[in-house]
Amino acid sequence: MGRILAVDDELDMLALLKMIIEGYSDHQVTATNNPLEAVEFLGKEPFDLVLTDLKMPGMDGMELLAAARKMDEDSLVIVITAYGSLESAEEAMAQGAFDFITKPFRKEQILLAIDKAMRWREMVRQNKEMKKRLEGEKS
Amino acid sequence: MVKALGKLKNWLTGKRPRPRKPVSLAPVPALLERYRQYKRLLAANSAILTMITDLQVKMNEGFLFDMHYVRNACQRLGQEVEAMVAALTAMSGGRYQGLEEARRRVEAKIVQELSGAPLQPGPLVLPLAEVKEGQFFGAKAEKLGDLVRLGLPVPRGFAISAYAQKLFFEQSGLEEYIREQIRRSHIRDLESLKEAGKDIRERVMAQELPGELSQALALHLASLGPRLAVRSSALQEDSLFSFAGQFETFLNVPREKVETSYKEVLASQFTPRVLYYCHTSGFAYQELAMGVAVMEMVAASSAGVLYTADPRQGGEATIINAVCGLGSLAVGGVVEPDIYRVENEQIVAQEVGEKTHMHLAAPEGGLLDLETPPERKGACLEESQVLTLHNLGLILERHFGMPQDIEWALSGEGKIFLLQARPLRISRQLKAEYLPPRLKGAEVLLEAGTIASRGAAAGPVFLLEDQQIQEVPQGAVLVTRRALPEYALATSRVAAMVCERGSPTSHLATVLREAGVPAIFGAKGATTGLPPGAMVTVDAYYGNIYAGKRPELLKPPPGDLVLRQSRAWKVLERVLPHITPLHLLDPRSENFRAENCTTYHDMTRFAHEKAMTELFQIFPGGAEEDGSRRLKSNLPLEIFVIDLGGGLTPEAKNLMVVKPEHLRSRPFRAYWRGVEAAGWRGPRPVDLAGFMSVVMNAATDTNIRERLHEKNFAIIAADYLNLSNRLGFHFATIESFLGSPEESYASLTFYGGGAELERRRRRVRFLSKVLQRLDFRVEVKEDSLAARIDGYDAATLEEKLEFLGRLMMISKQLDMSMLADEAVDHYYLEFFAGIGEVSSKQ
Repeated sequence: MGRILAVDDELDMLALLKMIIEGYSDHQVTATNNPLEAVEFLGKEPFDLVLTDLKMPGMDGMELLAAARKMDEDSLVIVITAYGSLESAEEAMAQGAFDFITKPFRKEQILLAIDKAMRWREMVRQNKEMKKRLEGEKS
Repeated sequence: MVKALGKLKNWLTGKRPRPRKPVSLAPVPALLERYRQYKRLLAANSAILTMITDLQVKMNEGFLFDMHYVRNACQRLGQEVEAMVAALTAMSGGRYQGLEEARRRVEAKIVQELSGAPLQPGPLVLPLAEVKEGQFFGAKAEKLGDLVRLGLPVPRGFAISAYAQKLFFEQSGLEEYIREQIRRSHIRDLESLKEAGKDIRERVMAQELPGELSQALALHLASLGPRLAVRSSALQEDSLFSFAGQFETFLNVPREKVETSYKEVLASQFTPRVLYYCHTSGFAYQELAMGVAVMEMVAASSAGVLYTADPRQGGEATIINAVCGLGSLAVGGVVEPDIYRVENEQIVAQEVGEKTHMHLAAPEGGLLDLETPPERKGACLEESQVLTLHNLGLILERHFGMPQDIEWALSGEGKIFLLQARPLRISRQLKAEYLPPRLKGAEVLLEAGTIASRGAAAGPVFLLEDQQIQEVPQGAVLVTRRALPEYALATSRVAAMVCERGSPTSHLATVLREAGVPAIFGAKGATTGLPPGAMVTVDAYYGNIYAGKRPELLKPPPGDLVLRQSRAWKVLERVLPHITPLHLLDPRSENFRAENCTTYHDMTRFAHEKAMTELFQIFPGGAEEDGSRRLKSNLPLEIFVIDLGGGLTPEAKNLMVVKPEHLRSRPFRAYWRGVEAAGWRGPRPVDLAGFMSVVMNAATDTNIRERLHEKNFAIIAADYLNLSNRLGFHFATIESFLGSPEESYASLTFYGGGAELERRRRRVRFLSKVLQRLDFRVEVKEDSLAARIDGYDAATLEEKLEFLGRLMMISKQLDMSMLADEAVDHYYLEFFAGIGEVSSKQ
């Protein structure tokens, strides 16, 4: 079970993301339409994954991505882009997003993307733990 | 006499005056313009059908989409339909005004569905029993009204409309104040949004309710008990409000404090999220007004929630959660409730929860949070109460047609009350939906083609050949060569459809998806590989057709109830009836008229069909010599060519006389191959009666001389041919457009002749027979014939055009020798014998 922060100014999409993810997986979703509030959430509690729309008023997904990575360099962000804005998705990947998904998408797509991200997260965690143990043994 | 007749014959069939020297080699602008409009129309047609397909797929195949997508798609679709209608109007010189009117009507309906019904003035307060959908009391109050009318146990109460809120906000100056606060707050500053929210909430609480609302509340409250529950009832429960934060519900409110609680419910919506939303979308009452339900408080000994299905697996079970006292602790995980599971009218599982705390109504109003006394820690419900609840749940599920999530309370006297009902969100595990691409151990008859309409169905194969589409039996798997729009007439009868050609964006596919009939198109070999009468299962998830009935495929699709609860989905569901249905199936039918177009799909079909007719009228008459050049070949045919673009090679650009090798027009080259293959043969032996009738007809027909002086014109483009042809005494127009399979066609109209009517009729019967065998749709009237073929790809149509070229050459002056009815079959056999390969190809 993981904790996911979903951010999209389109309320329907946000409602769907929460319903689908919580309905079809064991993850818990905190959802907000306001990216500023999202940054506030990130400062307060740890999330395993951030799902964010790219184009939002006030603060776009790129800024949120940067803010999330500044707070935690290992933070995983999947960006959601509108159809036809592949370039911005590529840019987001270059800036450290873990993955991107284009709207509208099938529910299986988002669930698989989340699954992949969660497994990656677990691998990184185990890797770090092992390194630490190795270093401990050396010293 | 013979000599005189010969002279006459020479005159009739002889040389026509030489054409004037063409003024310019560029085609007439008007002609070119019409052709350009046609191309624009075709582009719009294809874009529209693709977009309609996309909308259907997004709606029914498990996609997540938002209102932005729905609005955008409808807007783009509307623009293309407008462009298509405009193109037809331009082609027809301003006719089809009715179509433009129909378009505006449909557009207005779609705009209305997208924006939702505007908040209308209406009653401010109504007893629950009178609250119905569409009166702006919000979903919760409307459903409670339903329950009361069903005679189910609901606490007495009333509802306050969303319009009452609007009235309150307008009269008290709150609206102005809220807009100002939104304007002054900063979208990039969360603190300023929080502050604005706090100010707005305080202002709402400080204002007096309008007199009429206050009076209405007092009047309705007078007939209710002293303690009440005040619950929000949002107009759009699943979108904005689910993110505005928890909406306040106030329990155990003393009568005199209901006005305050009402204002608190209204004030609770102004959270930073809502204000952020208002910043980007404006402040609109449709989104930001709510109804409120006020009901008598049930002094509950226990309460909880009831699901009429298992929300995790969706199985047939009733799940009941129960806590001691009021229901406010039943969900949210603060206390562990009792859980009862009912299957087949029996409690199959029962877990008594810890229930450390309970809520009770405080004497002064509000709630008391107590430790549950030890004597109440046992099961909250008796078996009979569990079963009564289960039965109430079933009544609601049947009434609303889907699983329900119900709040209930059990009074101290042992009476059950229903407090709220809403659709249950069922989630199923992904694995349950998985079907293998290929069933093990099953015989696959066919695995070609693309999915035109998702689903699976079984039935006996019915191969459509010469029968009428109306003859397709109920429950059949209809197998056809092509995907013609008129096959949609059988939609309600067939289990599934398999076409050898056609694409998912065709008219037919759209109609089948609309009706939920599984279909595979482009299934090469279907007409030969699927034995008529044999039971087959069409798997239009993976594109396989299995022998026999495969029950594992025929289970009803899992469906995505979760997705279907989103606002965007519901709006799309309301919008699509103005877009996808196709009512104009058959161009020959009476109802094929502009004013009968009630959907974008109707208009698209109508405009496309009429555009072909309009283009057919392309023959400009009179002005044609501009831009025309003579086609010189070995055959004694005089044809003038007008190139609209790409019909001739670049070398021919400045040539007054072109040769067949200069032709680049794909349909004309195909037709010409047939012409050359048949070659020029003299007239068939003519008996005297035949020839005399030519003479007599010529003498009585005042137009004959004029007609004989008409020239043969070919208006061509790279993908287009319109050939007006006079061979002998008859007139023929061959037209063809070769583009995508959806827009390609070839047609022939043919009339007249030199011989007497009966012989001319025989010739037309001969033509009809040949053309039908070549898969043309043929209509014959007296001695005239209209034939058309479509639903094929361009390469196939090229073959057909080649046959048409042959047929035209062979049949010239054939009417003269059609001495008896037997001649029809004779020449028919001769035609196909002459081209042995035809039979094998067909």
